[in-house]
Amino acid sequence: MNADILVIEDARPINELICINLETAGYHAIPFYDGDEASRHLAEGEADYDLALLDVMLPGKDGFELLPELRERQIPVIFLTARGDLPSKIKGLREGAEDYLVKPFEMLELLVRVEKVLERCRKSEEQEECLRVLDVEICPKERIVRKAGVEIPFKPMEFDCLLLLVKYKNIVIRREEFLNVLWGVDFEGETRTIDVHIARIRKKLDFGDVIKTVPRVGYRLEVH
Amino acid sequence: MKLTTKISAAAVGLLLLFSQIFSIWNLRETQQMRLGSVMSSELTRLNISARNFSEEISHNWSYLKDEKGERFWGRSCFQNHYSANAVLYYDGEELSNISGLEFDLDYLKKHADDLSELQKYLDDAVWYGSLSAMIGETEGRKLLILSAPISDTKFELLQYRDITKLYEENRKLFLRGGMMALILAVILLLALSLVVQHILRPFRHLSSASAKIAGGDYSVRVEERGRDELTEVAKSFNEMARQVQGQVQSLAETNEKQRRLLGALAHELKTPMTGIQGYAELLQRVELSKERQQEALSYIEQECKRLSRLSAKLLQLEELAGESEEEISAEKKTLEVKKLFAETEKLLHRWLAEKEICLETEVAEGAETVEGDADLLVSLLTNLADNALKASSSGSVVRLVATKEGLFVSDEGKGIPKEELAKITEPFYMVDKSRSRQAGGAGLGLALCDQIARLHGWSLRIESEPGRRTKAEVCF
Repeated sequence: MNADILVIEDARPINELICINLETAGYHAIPFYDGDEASRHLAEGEADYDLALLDVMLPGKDGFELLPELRERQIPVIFLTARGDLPSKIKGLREGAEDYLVKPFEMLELLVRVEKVLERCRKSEEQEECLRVLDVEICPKERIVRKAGVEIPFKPMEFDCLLLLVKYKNIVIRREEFLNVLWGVDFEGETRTIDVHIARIRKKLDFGDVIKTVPRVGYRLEVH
Repeated sequence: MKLTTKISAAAVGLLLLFSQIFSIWNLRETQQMRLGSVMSSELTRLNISARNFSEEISHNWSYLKDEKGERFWGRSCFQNHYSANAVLYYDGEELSNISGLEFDLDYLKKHADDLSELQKYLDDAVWYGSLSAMIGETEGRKLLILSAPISDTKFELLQYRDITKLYEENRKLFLRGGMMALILAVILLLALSLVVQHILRPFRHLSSASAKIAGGDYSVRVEERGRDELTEVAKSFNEMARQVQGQVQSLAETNEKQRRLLGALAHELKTPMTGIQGYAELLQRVELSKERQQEALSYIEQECKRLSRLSAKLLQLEELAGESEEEISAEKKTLEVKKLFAETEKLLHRWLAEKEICLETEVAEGAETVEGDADLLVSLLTNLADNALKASSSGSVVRLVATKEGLFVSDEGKGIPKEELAKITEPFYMVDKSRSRQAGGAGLGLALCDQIARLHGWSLRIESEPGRRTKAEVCF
């Protein structure tokens, strides 16, 4: 998860918000509030970044002007804009942005898109590694869970639930989001099913305290 | 049926009718005249014959003792004088017939035609009362038959003349006239339809032009040539088209303006919405430090305040857009400029102090009062001064000045680039979006000022030297 992400957005509160979100998910966020400033920093060419979140309307150089500079340094770009019209989206994607995020956006949407872009751009270099939480090891590739080195049998659904919680640790996952990710958008399942799955995971891993219930919202895996 | 056809057909039809009536009357008159002259010559002939006959018969009249002798003598005299076309009667009985035709004297007398109207055509021939005349028909021939008794005797003479030719000629004339009239009618029809078509051409132009206008092409105009009624119609049509074009254009402009306003509003709402939603979500999902929680909450509050300010300004703008100059003038009062300036300063006091900006006011002589709506004028001044404030760096001076020509607000701030000047009174237009937003602006201030100035019948003018100063002037 250790990735350096540029956040180039002029509205300070929104920039901060994005940075908090990214840092909560375990990324390292570097904010810029101005197109020229970001451009100057890139030109110095000292740091290497894994991804840039780029606002289209910026003071100084705007998003479309910055895009080629970022691409030159092989930094994938997700456009961040209030303009959700199709021509703008198409223009952004045509000119080489990896993805497009329209304001206002939800936190999880931002994180999932960031994760997917990072995954796509890294695939060739690194193998997906196993995730660790306390004494629990989760290997997404082999779909195996080990606690203190001992493999614990998990049903597919339970495994996916656990993976989601671990991936976005310290962030509440809503019940509907579980349903969406696990069964697809159109699934109109009972949110109660999720409660049952979570109860089983807690029991199997002795995660009673680690997976917190946030009333009326969802569940959060807390690791400090 | 087309108008051209209708008009031509009606004209030609009427012409044919009248010409035929005239030609029939004319032919009848001619016929009567010719008949009269035939009659005249026949009468003369009859008179002469009758005189000769009676003279000759009276020569030997004393020798004739009986009826048989009279008959014999009469027949002999008749045959001496007549070669054809005549019959002699004695006491109503046919005595000698050299005509080859049979006549019935009694029938002739009973059914004699009244040819008295022919009398006016007789030249010097004498018409006499005992004469019987008839136009009879036999074996397809028309005959003029005359008969008269010989005075003092029982003889009676009948004489006829073949007038078939005369009638035939007349019929021929009639037919020829009819043919002629028909041919003329056809020519007339063609000529008339061409002429009418030419006359009606402006109508066709009008109709095609109105079809185009109905189809949405409002720039179409028709030709205005000549001085007839059609030109008048064309003129009023063009006037109508001009009006319609103007109206449609202004509607389209208003529409476009509102569409832009709505688009700008939607866009303007997105930034605060993103922040509010994002921070609320953050609070809900992530366990933040106390400090961060406070930050998030204050940000949410701040953005909500901005939204309510935005909606308040929008409402004000909307209200002003609905008002007219007359409504404002009803609420106009004579206001003291000093008081207005003081009010403005009071409203901006906090920000003035914060940025350490000095607000200088100046009222020129003769400009102590102004006619207007107090609330609106304070709003106007506050907005202009607020803009000046935001553009100025701390420690500089903002001036509020009233002169006879108008009010102005000037600052020594960063100025406005020339190419932006025309657009700054558009709602939601901001020269520097991120800075303006950070300062809490919504991009509606100048739009509001412009509207207020317009409602007072004034104009808003902004001059600027980028990097040095800006002057916003309300000209009376």
